[in-house]
Amino acid sequence: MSLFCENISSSYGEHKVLNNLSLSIKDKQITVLVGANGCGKSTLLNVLAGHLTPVQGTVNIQGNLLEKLTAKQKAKALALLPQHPQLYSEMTVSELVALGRFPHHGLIKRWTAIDQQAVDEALAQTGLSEFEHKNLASLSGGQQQRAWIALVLAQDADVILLDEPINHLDLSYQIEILDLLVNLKLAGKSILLVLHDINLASRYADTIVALKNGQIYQQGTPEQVIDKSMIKAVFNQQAQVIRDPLYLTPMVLTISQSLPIKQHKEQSLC
Amino acid sequence: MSRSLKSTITLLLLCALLAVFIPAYLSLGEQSYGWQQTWLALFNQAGSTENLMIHTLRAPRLLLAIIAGSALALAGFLLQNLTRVSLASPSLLGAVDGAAVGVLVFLTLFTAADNQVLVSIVWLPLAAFIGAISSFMVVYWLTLRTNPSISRFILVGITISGLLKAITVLLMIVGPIYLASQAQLWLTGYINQTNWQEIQILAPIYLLLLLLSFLTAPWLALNQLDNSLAKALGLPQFSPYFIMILAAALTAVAVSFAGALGFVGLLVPHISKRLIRAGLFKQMLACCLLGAILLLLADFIGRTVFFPYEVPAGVITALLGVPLFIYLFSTARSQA
Repeated sequence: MSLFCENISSSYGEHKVLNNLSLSIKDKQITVLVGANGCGKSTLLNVLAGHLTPVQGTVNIQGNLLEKLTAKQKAKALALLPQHPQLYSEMTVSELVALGRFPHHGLIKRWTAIDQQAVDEALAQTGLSEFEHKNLASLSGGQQQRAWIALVLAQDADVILLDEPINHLDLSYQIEILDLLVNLKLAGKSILLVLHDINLASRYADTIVALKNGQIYQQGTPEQVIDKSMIKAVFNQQAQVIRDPLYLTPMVLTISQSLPIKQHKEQSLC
Repeated sequence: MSRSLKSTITLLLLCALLAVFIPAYLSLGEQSYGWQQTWLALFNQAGSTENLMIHTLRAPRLLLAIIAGSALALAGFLLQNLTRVSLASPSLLGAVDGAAVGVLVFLTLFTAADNQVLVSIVWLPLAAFIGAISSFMVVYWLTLRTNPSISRFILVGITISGLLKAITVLLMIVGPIYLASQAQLWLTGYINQTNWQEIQILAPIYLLLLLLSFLTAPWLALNQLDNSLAKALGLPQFSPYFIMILAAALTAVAVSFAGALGFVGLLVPHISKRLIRAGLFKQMLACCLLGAILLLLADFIGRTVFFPYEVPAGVITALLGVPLFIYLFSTARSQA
């Protein structure tokens, strides 16, 4: 396991967000964190990335304690794409992606062919080669999100953490980004991401980790984790779980409090 | 034509412009000389009058204009990129006024009754630096300790500048008459009283700061991303403080002997970003070249157009700077 944490507790003032949590991220897999708002998903990502120091517990990356690594060593081992990445000046896509090479440069080291190759590969993997000279702001939402992912890819870290990478994207862009993550997994990256859409999580995750009140409520394959009792416990939501007719993964059908159910076909899994 | 090629051509044009300005500045003025005479006088090889005018008076003045103009422009560039506030400048964030207080405190403490300065002026840039960095720190700290925002940052900067201006006036009133007249000249940005000794003090510090500033270009580039992402890419935690200290030191270098020059630190970074669209490194280079050119031009106008009077370079930079700044703002709005 490239990345794991043990007995992590973290709090904002008096409010405890993570409570004695231990988690291992499996190599070359997509792990999805799910849970209700405020359950500690983003906090956990920030602790794993070394952006937040936990009150107790340790994070271990590639056999090293995270706290012992320098900023550049951390950036070489692990990449984090926050929920709302911001760019404060005008940049082309290739200029943005080139920033991903920062951890690989010393104080006076110049741009090398290896750097250029990493940028070109990141652009190719995200399908942005033809847009490399375009301003980031001129791209569509999905293309912009791909550009941010290309930046993370140019960083060339084995572990990639993404905080709600498909938030605010329309349906086709959501699928485009998640398909890209599958390709990255196949290319050998270990991916941990936060998703709110439980059905997309079910389709794309190798492992699902359900968080509740700063602790792991359940983890395992989508089939092991997603059932109506988990949805009720974690999201406080009544639901039926059926099998996705296309991908045969668990699919959650939420039950409204105000709309009467018009047809109920008995095909629920549990 | 790619943005990179366009930027390189613009940089070469700026270099050519500076290369033309330098001999023109040295040879033309209230007394004008031919190129050959100027060249010989530069190395003290011409007649005594030419040597005095060019080697003793104009050459150090030229170098001070280049150093102060480029240092102040670079300080503004660093601050605008660090704070991501396009209005940030050494003046607006209190550094120039802080440096002024540093210089005046230095002169007040170390001037004897007979108007002799008791310690070497080698220490004057240090006094300006302490003043500049202290005001930066106060502005930064007061902004960050509460809800940081662009408007708060500027508001705090203006407030601290106001306080420092009041302290400056107070020091001029309670200080000796000699100090008041010196300070008044200093505050307008007057570079005609410089000499080789001042250049020998400033030049090595300036070159070191220039080198360090260019080394921070990758940090500044990462700083264009939000803090979380910049941190994830390995931006060192101390980098904002290092850049702030550099900006304060550059401001101190610029203003310690050249005085409180207005607008260079605000205006020049904007122009360089307009001219150079590709890469922070090239923008920094353009910033240095443009800062030097602007101050050289301002000083040249100040000493020739109004002859036999000399108008301080700071007044000319403000006279040139204000309409140019208004023009930039109006075109930015129409482009938007």
